[in-house]
Amino acid sequence: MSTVVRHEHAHHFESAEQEFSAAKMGMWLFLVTEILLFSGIFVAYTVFKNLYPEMWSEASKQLDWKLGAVNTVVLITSSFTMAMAVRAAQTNERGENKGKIVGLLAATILLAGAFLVVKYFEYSHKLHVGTLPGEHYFFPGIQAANAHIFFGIYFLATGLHGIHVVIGMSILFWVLLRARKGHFYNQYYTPVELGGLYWHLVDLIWIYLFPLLYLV
Amino acid sequence: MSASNSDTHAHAHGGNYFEAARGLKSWLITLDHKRIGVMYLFWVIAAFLFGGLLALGVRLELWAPGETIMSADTYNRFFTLHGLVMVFLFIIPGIPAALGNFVLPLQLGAKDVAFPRLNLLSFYIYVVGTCMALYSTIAGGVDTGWTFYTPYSATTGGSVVMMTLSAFILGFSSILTGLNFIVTVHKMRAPGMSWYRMPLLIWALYATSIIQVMATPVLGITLLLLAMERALGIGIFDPALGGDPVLFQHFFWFYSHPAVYIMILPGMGVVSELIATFSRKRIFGYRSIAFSSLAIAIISFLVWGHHMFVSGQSVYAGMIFSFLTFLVAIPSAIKVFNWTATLYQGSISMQTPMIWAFSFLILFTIGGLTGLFLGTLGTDVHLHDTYFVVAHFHYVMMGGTVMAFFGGVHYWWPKIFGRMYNEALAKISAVLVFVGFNVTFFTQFVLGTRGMPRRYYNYLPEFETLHKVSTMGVLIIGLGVTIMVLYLAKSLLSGEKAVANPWGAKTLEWTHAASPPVLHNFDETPVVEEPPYHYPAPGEESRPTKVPA
Amino acid sequence: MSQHDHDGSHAHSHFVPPAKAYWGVFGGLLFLTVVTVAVSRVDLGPFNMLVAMGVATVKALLVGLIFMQLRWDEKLNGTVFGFGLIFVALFFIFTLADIFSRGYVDPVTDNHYLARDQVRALEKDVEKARGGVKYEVGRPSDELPPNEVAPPAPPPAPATEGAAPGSEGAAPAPEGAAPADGAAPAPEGAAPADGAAPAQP
Repeated sequence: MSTVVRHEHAHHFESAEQEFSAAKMGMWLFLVTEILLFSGIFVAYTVFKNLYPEMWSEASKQLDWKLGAVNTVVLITSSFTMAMAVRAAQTNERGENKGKIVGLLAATILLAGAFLVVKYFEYSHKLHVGTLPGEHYFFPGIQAANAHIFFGIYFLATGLHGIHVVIGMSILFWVLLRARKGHFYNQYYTPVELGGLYWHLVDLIWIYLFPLLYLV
Repeated sequence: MSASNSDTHAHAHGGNYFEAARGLKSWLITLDHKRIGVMYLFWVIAAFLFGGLLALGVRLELWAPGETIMSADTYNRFFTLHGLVMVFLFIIPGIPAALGNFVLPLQLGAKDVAFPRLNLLSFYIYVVGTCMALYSTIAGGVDTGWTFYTPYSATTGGSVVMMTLSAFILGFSSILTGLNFIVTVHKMRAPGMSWYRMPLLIWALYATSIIQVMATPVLGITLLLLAMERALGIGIFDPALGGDPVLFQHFFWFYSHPAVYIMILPGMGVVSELIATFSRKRIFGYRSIAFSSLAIAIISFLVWGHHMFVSGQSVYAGMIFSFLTFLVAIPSAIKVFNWTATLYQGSISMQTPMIWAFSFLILFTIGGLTGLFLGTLGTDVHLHDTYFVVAHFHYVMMGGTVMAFFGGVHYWWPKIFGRMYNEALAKISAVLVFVGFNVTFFTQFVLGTRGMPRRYYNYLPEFETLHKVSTMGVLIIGLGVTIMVLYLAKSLLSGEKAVANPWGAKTLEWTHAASPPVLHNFDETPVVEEPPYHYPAPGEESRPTKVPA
Repeated sequence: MSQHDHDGSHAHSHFVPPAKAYWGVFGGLLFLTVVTVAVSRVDLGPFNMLVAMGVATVKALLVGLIFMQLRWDEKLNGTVFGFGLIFVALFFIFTLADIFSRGYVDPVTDNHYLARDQVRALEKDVEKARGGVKYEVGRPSDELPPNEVAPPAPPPAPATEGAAPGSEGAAPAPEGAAPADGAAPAPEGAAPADGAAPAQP
């Protein structure tokens, strides 16, 4: 509990500082690619919302905004625990924060799981009533035409986001295992930091998805 | 020659990167950017040969009207696969991932790229993507053309989903390479290697990487949507379901137009190296060439609609895209003029890489200028989807990038493998490819302006002569490439040993590293004290390259 | 970067944000979530969207600047991120610029018509012909009452296959879905699934 495993920087770097700074820049570039990946869905969203405005608001009302709001709160909280986990690693000198890092990471992963559980209930409801993408759509309650497009985009956006949640959970779990071994301290916490950045991005995308899908 | 001192210098510490470890396993798990580059090199050359054979098939079928050697369906699959293999498996990874991987850290004076593990991962992703592409050709084939236009691609048979997923996967590989290069350029430069001391290849690769990182994810989502369209019928691109097929073209070209510059920019970088080295002259307009690479990268994102002039796109969008398209001509022309100015009063040596560089200059200029015809709204309505377009992009992609790629391969061959090749045969091969290329594709400009549509299986009898000429051109190219493969293979087996700097070049990989380089590239980190290509100015006496004590 | 002197202790001199900042942002994010939900319950017309996006952007800024520490980070990382957003903007601007200005130019009057307006005009015409019954392009065609007047052919074809999504064929009816608006189900045989032009009497 009271010791940490010292980190040696890789041979092709001059210093740990250079290694950290390079890793972080790489992560930010990666996050940019994620944003651009999602931008395609956002563009499609804008196009079809404007082509079929009435259908869009009618279809959006079929989503349960309460569940969406609950999930928003869950993700925001997980982002907060994640930020605190990074902070705990940054201030960890001799391993005194190890329990805190592990605990906060575990909380983040649990909240991510809670998010997925809520999503599961939402999805199964839709499977049941037929608010589904494309040719699988069979919901009778929407007057306007082409509602299957809204649900196509809904499932794509939330599905892709959900996959990112799962990936984020696995990354954070790996970070957690390493944190238990005492790998992270104030001189070396790159994986915690990068995992955190990834997780905040997942939150960031949801911050936009929530009002766009549930509240229009 | 300045080479000899650094040669002994590097060899003092023994084994090169081939000798550092032995056995298949040492290659499969290597993190060395040089080995990864070499593995890429063999793989992309194989892809090029495969794609070339497909092109040969297409051309042979077009030898005469009607069925010649294959059915119409097979023909559709052949040209689709030719496009996909050449674009995704050869040209996009060709210069950056194969040559760039090897050269970039060396030119920066770094021991490796910033993320060696990601580098290896990107190679394996590329291999998996290749296998998926090959599998999808066996399992049904794809006949959509490499552009996958909807709604046809959403309804046709064959294994379109597998092929789109393969391109999706290959996109990841490309992103990882680009990301790696950007961080490497920012964070791994040797002491003294300021931005304006970087060789122009680095600037070009940097600009390329920006496009790879910013554009490729959109290809990912596009292909994902297409796969969903086929799997679930989500209807986003299907007019019968309330969707918009032209939206697919927007998505596709947001990536694929910048991707055209992923293909050509590294070629421009290689040519900058070749022209400076073989003219023995400081490059003219270093900063203009460097910044024109970045300008091309940015402008490339603003012009994609010029592929869609006749798709039903809004006339206003068409006008804006047409106007912006002409802007690309400016940085491209800046480069060509600066290269030409570098040649002026240079002491030019016509060694093999330089022959390729000249081929590039001539063919790329023709390709670029014919692009302006196609960027003009009215003219494009006439030329759209004719052989003129085919000829145009082959002049840029093959006449430009492939010439630069082979120029680069011949230039860095001694550095990569430590052996020379047969110079006479190499020159013959380069000239054959140049001649064959023009016979093949200049004919197609004529075919196109006379109204021969691209991708057609059959044609009117009046086009027969020109088609025959074009097909003969391919055979000449094939002969040239065959000779090349043979003498390069011979060089690998029994080529004469290369010295560290056979060309008298000025960049770090020649002046400070052995041929082939040692495991960590340099025995000690080089310190850069000169601007790039610091050849003696006219009148100045020749002086040896500085080697740190 | 690579020329940084470092004194052997390889010390990271990274700023560690105070925990208070994180708590503050957490509270702010929760508050803004309540705001955005509350506003969406009130009908403000187009301003609903504006407010929702505005609030989301403030939230995103909070997460980016504080949680992701961009405020204290090397400038380069923020630049990278901002640069990415520029490309997202380009994607939006050019795609939407086409989609929402699409249409055709009348060769005689030189006027430019938007495809969307054409479709709306077409719908109005049909509505009039049907005596005020609402008609929407893309509506499953089996909702058309029998003996329906065929909707007029769209005005001189815009050379745009995708310009008027849905105008050339109604969306296939979901299987077995009864029209929910109470319209009488179409009699058998009067519901060609693929055409907006039912048989003339």
